[in-house]
Amino acid sequence: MMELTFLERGIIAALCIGLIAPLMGTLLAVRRSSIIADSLSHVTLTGISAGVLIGGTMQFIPVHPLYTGFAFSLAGSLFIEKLRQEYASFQELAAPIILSAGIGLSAVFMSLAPSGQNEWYDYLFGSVVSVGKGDLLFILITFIVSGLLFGLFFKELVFVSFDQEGAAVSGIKMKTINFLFSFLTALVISMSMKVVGILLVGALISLPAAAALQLASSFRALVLWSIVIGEAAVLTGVISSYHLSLATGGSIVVSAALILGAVLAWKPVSARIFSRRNQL
Amino acid sequence: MDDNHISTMVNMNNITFQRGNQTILSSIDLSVHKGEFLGLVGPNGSGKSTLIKIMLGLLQPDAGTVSLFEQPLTTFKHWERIGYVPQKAASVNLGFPATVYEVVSMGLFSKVGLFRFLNRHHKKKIDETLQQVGMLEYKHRNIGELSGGQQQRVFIARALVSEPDVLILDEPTVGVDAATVQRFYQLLSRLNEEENLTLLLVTHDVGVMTKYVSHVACLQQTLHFHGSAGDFEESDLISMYGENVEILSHQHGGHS
Repeated sequence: MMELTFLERGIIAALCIGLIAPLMGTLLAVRRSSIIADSLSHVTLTGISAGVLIGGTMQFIPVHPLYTGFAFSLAGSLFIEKLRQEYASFQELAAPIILSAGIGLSAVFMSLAPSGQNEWYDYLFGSVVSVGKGDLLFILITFIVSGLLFGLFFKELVFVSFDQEGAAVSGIKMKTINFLFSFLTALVISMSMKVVGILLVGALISLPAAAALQLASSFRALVLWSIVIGEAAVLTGVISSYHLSLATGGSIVVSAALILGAVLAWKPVSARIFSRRNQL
Repeated sequence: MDDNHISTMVNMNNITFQRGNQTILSSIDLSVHKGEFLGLVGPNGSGKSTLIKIMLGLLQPDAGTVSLFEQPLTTFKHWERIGYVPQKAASVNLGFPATVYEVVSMGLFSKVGLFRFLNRHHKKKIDETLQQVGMLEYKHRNIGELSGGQQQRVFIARALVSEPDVLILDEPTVGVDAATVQRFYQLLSRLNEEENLTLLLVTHDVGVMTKYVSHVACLQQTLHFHGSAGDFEESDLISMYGENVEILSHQHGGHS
């Protein structure tokens, strides 16, 4: 790992994220809670700012901003899940409250920090060249942990997303699965921070799932299409951002949006072709 | 564990439930015995779904106790013995891009275990169950594309695939046309008679139901009647629904 160039590190990081973020996106989309990813990314920024502030003012405490980002993200997702359960009609309100409180607090932290404002900008829009060794290690750890959790509990996560009551009556432990949802969302968002950035991670989570929803007629196909589209978007994004010196998160999300546009444009065309074929 | 001798599948004792200061259910005693086909009827808002949710541990009662297969609900673990068909509109996300096969396979998840996938035996069981409800040819169709009656059969297959001892259905005929409702009840009574499956059906539509069930319970905050279908009389309904009951009990027509 030590001999990798920064571009290689960036591509490895992007491939991990391109797989996990769209996978999470399919579950959030069918749970109708894609907006949560957006709110949580802002809370993650608060955690990152806190990490930068601590690192700048109290250098004897070894903190990496991504870890404080994850801690804040997890706390935020548990808070949202709590609101989701206790106030069903509060769901829409929870997201903007968390979002604005998160960004406000992180602006305060950053103005207190003696340095690190440039670093902050990288976290906003993502930068593939800023993925250092410590960042890649964090991304790989979170990739393995989230991959394992998805592998272990994917069936349960799907069942709960499809039918809460049915899942509860089949003996699935709802508290465990709901906590897992929060934990995974927090993990996925904090692992995407360095490459895609706070403002755009929500798009990487929801755009591939949105495109895949147009193409898939089974849940299996939905997951596979989301991952294929996600990986295609991160690879084109990373490579074009490197060669054209564009913000990485921006190029990734523009690629994902172009794929979604192409899918939406293709749908009526393909429907016409297939209906003509059926008439023959 | 051999507990085939157990004949009380569900026992609810003195259940009371309040929402705010409104009493939804008051001192309900209800039991379901092995082999019964119990129809739980009551007008809209009579607390039927609430009672079912309490029975399944989805809601906590303010007073009273529930036992399933003679075990207190709080320690009950054998959920595969209970097949549940939830009220579709309220619980299930039908925009979900899942095939009929995928929906039915969810019924086996608690049996399959962590990190494991469905094996050949499970797949065969899914096919058999789809055959049983007459939906095998729709196996690869998307659940959202099916009619209400077909979706309901798929949900029954999902509940049956784990081979439960009791099947609980919450308003399964809402949004289904009259002819389909008739076939649907025929399917249920076949399951009850041939497979010896215990059934608990919740409905606000008394019409067709009384022809098929073996027992009836009428709910309107309290239980007004609980006994065999033969002893059930129109006067029991009038006390609950008021004088408009004829519309419900005779011409069932197509209700929306």
